[in-house]
Amino acid sequence: MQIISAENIDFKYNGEKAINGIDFKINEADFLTILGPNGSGKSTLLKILARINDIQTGSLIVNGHYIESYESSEYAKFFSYVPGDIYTPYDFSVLEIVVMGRAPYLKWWEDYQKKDNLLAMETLESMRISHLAKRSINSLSSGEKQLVFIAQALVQNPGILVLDEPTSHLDIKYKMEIFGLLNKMREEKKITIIIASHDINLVSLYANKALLLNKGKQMFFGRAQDGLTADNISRTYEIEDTSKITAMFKL
Amino acid sequence: MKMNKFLIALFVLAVLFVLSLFIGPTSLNGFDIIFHIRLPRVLQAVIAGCALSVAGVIFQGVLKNPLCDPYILGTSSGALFGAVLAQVIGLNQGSFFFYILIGASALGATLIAYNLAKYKKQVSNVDLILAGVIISTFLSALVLLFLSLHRESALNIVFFMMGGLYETDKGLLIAAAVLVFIGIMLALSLSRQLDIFSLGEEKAVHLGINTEKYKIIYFTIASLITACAVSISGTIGFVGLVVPHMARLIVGPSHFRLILASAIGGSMFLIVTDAFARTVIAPGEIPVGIITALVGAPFFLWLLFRNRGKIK
Repeated sequence: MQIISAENIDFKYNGEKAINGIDFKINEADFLTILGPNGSGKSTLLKILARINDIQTGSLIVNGHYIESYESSEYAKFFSYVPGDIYTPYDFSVLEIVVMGRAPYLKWWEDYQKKDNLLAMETLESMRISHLAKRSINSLSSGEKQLVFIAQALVQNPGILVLDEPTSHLDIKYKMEIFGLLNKMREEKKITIIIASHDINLVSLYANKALLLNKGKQMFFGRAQDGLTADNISRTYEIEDTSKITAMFKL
Repeated sequence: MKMNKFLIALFVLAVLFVLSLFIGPTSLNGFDIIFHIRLPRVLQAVIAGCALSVAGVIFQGVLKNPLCDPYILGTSSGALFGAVLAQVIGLNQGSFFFYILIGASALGATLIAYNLAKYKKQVSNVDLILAGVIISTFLSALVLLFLSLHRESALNIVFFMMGGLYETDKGLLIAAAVLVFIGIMLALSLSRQLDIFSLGEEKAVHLGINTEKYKIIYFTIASLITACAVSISGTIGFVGLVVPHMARLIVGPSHFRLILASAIGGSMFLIVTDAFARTVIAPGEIPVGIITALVGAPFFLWLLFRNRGKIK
């Protein structure tokens, strides 16, 4: 089943083109990785998908409906997003943060119910971080924090889970853990995963689709094993010496 | 356990309330003095303290910025400017439109500061504070300009600007109490969404909040209750900064409890500072806004240094 269909998407910030002619289609339970150097438009594209940026030109259909036609809370029941870095000055507990993922399912006057807290706790348990439940979010390491926000996104019960450079400043243990978890979600719950990352080796283990961006232009879209070649990577990242890329990324 | 904390706090508030009725520049404690002079004044302290503290909580939550309060954001100056503007165009003090203008001008000043600080859909915390201070300075200059043109009403407004709990109309006091009560109830009913805003506006969008709509609602509630406080007691600074932080230390960051605790704590804070203000140099008195600023400005600096590097 087709989950996202993007056709000819452009986006401008104050007249400056950030992305240009993006075109891709992915299905349920796909694992899409978006690769590209800094400033290539990855975040701009993800923010359009997350409805932080309003779509300007082109058409974007998510789960059968135009993205702009959703009510805010309806969209959040299907689409969840884990930013690379979240800071709050206030010491919310991990459980308080995770249960917020139930917000799209509540009426404006309703508070979280017992079942919402239970679901949040179960999700923490399934990720083996329930011992963190009472800790303040600001006392966690960045890896633990990342897991907490993934838990929050999972509590939304989404069809699509998007992550913006989730592992960029994590050690290898958390990287493996997070990718393993995402793959499990994809296999068991048929959640579509979209991930922007610089970890080419790691994503090549799990992704079945790849979208390569350079300066806002789409360099490649298709099956990951076709896309993640030394030649494509060198064009995308503008690296002349392909032999080094082959060595570095075992492509 | 948690409800107990609130019951204790309410009890302490009641004790402070009664005690402060017997404190004043004169040791005369006749019926008239207590009921016609001190009671309205203590009630003013309760209402203004509640309103400013809850407005502070709302701003700090919706903007994810621990340095915000209605004074720093320019909301209070906006209300004051509205009051002066109303006098300039000849509206009667006490007329309905007089207060509408105060409320609208408080909201207007807040929205201008917010939009000045907004750049590429992001609001930098520091820019927001700067914008608020500049709006505040500009509006205060306009107020001073008016003062120098109309010297006969100057003294009134000077006291208004310094923030002080002086005689007010009883009808106004009741109207302000009702509005502040409604505002706090609304804020309580929308407190769950305020929790989400304190993870940042983008996260609020991801969690299905219609952020543009909610921002307007929160700004309106906070601005209107600030306008109520300014209408009865002038611009009293830093209450909305100090009290929510103290409350957060006791009940945590979750906004339902935080709003309740700040409402109670704000009342206590102003009752005590006002009792101090009217006795410390008796038979004279200091405007209470001077005391809250003497406490609040160093507190602001402490917050600023503590959050250094984290607040952008």
